[in-house]
Amino acid sequence: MSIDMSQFHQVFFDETDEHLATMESVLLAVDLALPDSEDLNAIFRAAHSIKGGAATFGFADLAELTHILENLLDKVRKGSMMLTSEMVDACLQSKDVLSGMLAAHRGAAAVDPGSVADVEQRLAALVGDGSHAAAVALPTAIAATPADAVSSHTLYVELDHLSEVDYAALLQSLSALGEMTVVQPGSSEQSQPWVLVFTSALQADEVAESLAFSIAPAHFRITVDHGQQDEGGFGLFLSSSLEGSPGADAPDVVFEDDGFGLFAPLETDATVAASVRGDEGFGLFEPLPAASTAVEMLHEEDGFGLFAPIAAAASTPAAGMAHEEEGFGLFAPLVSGPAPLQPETATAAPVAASQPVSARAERTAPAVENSIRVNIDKVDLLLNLVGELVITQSMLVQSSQTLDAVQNERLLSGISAMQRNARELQEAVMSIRMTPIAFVFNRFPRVVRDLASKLGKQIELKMVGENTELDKGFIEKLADPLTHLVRNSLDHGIESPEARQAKGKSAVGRLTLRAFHQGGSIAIEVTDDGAGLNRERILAKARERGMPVSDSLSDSEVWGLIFEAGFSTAAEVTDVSGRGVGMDVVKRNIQGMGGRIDIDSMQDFGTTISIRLPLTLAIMDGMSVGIGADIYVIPLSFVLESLQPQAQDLKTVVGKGQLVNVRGQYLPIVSLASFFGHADAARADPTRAILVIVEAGGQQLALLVDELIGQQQFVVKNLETNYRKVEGISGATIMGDGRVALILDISVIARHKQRPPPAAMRQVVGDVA
Amino acid sequence: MPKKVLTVDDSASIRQMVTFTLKSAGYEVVEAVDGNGGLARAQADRFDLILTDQNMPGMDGLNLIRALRKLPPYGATPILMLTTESSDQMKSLGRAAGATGWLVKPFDPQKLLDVVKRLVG
Repeated sequence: MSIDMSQFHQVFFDETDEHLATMESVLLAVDLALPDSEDLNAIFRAAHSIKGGAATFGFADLAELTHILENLLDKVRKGSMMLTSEMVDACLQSKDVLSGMLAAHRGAAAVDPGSVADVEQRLAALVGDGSHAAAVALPTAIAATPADAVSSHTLYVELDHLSEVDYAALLQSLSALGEMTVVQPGSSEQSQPWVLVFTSALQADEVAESLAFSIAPAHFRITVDHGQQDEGGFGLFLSSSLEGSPGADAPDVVFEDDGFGLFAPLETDATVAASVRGDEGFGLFEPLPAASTAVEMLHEEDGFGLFAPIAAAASTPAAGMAHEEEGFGLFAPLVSGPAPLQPETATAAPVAASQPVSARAERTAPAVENSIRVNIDKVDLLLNLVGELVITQSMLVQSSQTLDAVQNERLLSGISAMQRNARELQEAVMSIRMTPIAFVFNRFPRVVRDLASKLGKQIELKMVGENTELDKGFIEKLADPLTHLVRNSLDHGIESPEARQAKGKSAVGRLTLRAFHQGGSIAIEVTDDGAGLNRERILAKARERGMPVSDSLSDSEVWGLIFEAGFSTAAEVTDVSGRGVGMDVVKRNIQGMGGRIDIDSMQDFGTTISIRLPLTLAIMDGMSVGIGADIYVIPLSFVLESLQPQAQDLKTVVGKGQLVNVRGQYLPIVSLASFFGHADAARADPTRAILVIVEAGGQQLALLVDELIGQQQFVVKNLETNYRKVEGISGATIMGDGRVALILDISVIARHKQRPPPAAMRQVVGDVA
Repeated sequence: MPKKVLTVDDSASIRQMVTFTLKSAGYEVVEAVDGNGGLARAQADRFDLILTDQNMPGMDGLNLIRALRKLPPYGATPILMLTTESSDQMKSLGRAAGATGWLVKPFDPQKLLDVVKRLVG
């Protein structure tokens, strides 16, 4: 059977992404002085799992690097090496290289071989340094199978770690009887048992007897070594376990299949076993002749029946194989041990021993995957269809309004039920797309750590509200702008430790990332307690660039200048930030998501940059307004108030158009009719129309519309994909009556103000509306 | 009656590969993502063969084997360790815990199938 391994690649890529993310976040959080063993295990497991998968699915580069990484982590995990900050750095560097390799396998550009060699060398050097320490921790030498199998036995002994037992004394007395190697020292943490390899002339039962003085039979288990069959990569242990609790039904099978009643005692406890032997003549195996009979039989039958284990094998083709391949004597315990020791050790099995195990299992039973991975396209399609359904539904509602409520009672109540269902369906589908912002935030501990060390600053990063959910589409688009803001804060905002102390601040700068819901939108804030923006420097820079600025600008207008293209106040350009590209791009990105960005800053106290995003791109709260015969939608997040101005509040300034006085503040009036080139634009008289005051990019303006129609949720349709990009319009929606309404892009309108729109726009408005 | 196999591994891709391979060969396969899940599945059902990874969060493979060996129905069931570690130490630990044998990762699906056939037919 040939299996196409590539079908598993996607799952492997996804899980490797997760492992790498886990590795990074744990590494960043780990306390070097007192690392948590669970953390160390988690990092190790991540590397280990990647290695296993990579090797299985044929990604040699990943497997090779994770192998070295795993070696290092294994030593750290087992305590034979101390975790150092160099190790954390090297591990983080490996994580980056691994991410690159993964991306390359997904089709991105190949990773620079130099960086791979570099990180491999770095890791190897770290492993090398501590290797001598590692040797002490775990003796791996296993006693070779003794040449004289008759007089010497190799036993594998497992002892539960019990606090009341003096293991030092116990092990010492054992080692006096033969050759003993501790494969794994016991520990009460993680209930790790002691594992020993013991070679001596003693039989397993004799060892069991002597152990039983110190440890209750339920707490140890002895496995007799009959060698192993190793076929390179696969092997079977040819051993017989004299374990605590043999399967209850297993001995029955033994009986039925082979009639070796002798092993019945297996399921009973020691006293029963003894009595069975004594009273019912089961002593037959005690004397040597009997034992040799057993051995003969074993020979003949290849050892069946003795051990419950083979019960299954005995009745299946495997049994035959055992013969053929010699490998299946494996369960046939007794090859070297005389029969009677079975009952002895069977002692071990108080049924109660399994009790705690099952209790534990019950507690943790639901550890089954309860999520599925779905391609985002499918969710988008679903959301789109639900959007259509909502539109159809509102059409039905509208048409039904003219119907007689009594005659059509059942139809109308059906429609209202459908309206409710559609709304719930819509919410449910939208919630599928909601993802915690932690997906974006999680990268920042690393970014901050790397940058802080590069800049020689001390920074404490605090993240608040990582579980705030927002649309999956935003998550991806937020990463770049937020990274830029964080880099800016670190580079320009937070001062060097010396400068901070000179100002009487703590040497450690604080950077806070905060996300929270506010009304119908999501707010994300990047706050630093650094130097704050410098008003004079920004104004000077603006003049230098030939921007028309005056000293009377308000602070927020001055801060707004840094969003202008090509604006950078950094005294010198560093490789961290300050190339003068960025803030304008950040602003464009945020606005592209239907959001806005604001700055609040105070000299020497710090800066807060707030981003406000709608909950989702797909559905939006808006206010529909009428202009002539057409309907436009203003996103509600921009709307401050609506008013009908009095004639005395209106002023006309030559070259600046009309202004309206709103409680002492003069705001520019933008007539949407003339902005979009409506034929009847000229007639607009503000005193007979409505002004909607909106705020965008820190400035307010009054939009002149003919009427307010209503406020509701709109399903946003992308105009760009369905038609083409139109300036001043961010999308379209379908109204309940089937008409198309255009959604205004307030920030663009605020920028253009009165400027007449390009001819193309008039054309579009005609086409679409 | 198809033989029932329980595969315990925290790696989704390995689970998928094992399951696909064994199902294609007519086995009935149940998956668990870690030792605790594996133990719960084993208790809720009867399996003819158990394949387990070693390194898993929560309960690891060795502890799963120890726990299974204490359960009456699994005193004798073949339990194979699927592990990237094939050191003598790991083998000793596995043997002492009651494993039937080991299969080193990476393995190819055909090898897995050969081994499974040898153990349960």
